[in-house]
Amino acid sequence: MSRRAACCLAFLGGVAALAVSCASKPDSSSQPSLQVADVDPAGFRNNVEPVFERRCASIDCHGQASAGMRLYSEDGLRLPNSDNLAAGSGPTSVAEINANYIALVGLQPELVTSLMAKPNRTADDVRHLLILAKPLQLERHKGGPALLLGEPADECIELWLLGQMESAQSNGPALCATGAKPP
Amino acid sequence: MRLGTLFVSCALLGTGLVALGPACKYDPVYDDEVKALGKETPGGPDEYHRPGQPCGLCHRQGGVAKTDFSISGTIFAGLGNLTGVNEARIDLVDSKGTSPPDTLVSTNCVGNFFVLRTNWDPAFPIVVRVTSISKVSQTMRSEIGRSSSCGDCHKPELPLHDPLSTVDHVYLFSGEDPAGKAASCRIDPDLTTYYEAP
Repeated sequence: MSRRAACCLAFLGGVAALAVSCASKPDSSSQPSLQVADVDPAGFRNNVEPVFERRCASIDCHGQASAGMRLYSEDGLRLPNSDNLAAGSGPTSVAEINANYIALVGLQPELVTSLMAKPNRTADDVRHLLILAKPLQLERHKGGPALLLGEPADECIELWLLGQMESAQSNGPALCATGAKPP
Repeated sequence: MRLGTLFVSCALLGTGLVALGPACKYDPVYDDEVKALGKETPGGPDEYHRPGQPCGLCHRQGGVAKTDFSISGTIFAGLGNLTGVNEARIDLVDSKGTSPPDTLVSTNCVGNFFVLRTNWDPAFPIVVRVTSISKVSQTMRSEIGRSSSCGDCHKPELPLHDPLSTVDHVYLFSGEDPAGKAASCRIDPDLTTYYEAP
């Protein structure tokens, strides 16, 4: 066999192998999963979520379907529903609150998990997460500064990430309530 | 080829390329968005044209209009009443606590208002309140996070095409404007027909 014929044969074999591998049935039995540590889901639901709604979820920011980190809210984007909830009408649903939690905690799953495993995490640690670094403009943020360092909304989110929302001296729920107040 | 001729040729080619650069601002996504606005209002463009549409799509830096608006929009009378409200006052405050310098931004006879960026370049987010001459006032529940046009999120469609991600047009009254529509206006402030037209 000439060298040319051998080359052609090898090439055709490669194409055939590629076609077979592409046409094979996908392995649907394996479900890829990513374990993310809990970040005080109750504290988020009861105190922190309204802050994200108020400060981040307007329709022209993270309350749009094309946003990388999508947030649902009473006054903004709604999750498809059968309860006639529309943008601007009806309270934020449990499904929407859960979707917001997943969007926020799942933005940097590995980093969040390692941070939650750290016993004495500091405010500096949690400010490295994009959900704080972006609105504080420690990282580039298309929407500009959405939070000011040390304001109630910022402190509320930091306390949640530090796991100190319910500690007696933190005053967390009150800070969150102030941070979520309408303009 | 002599060196001088080569130099002149290169200079001419360079000038041509520099001139070609700004002329070739081809952006099909933007062009489609502008095209989707539809036909120009008869007699426009002027400050009465295209009420309810996202003004900032054209009126922005690099946009197809000559003027750049930092905030603009249209105020309608009611949810089911697409009549532009005349002389409604628009109060705006940005995140630095500044407002447009002339403090009194108000709508024209068709309900349109705008602020030139040269007069006020706000730091988002912005809070806004609208007040009619009859002192009926509405404050927007959420902040304006980034958009320069009411029409980006508020759509004068009855009913809304997508109620999950857009909200109704900006309106001030539960029904009709007690002051009625402007008696004299270049275009009819009752925009119902305008929005029913194909």
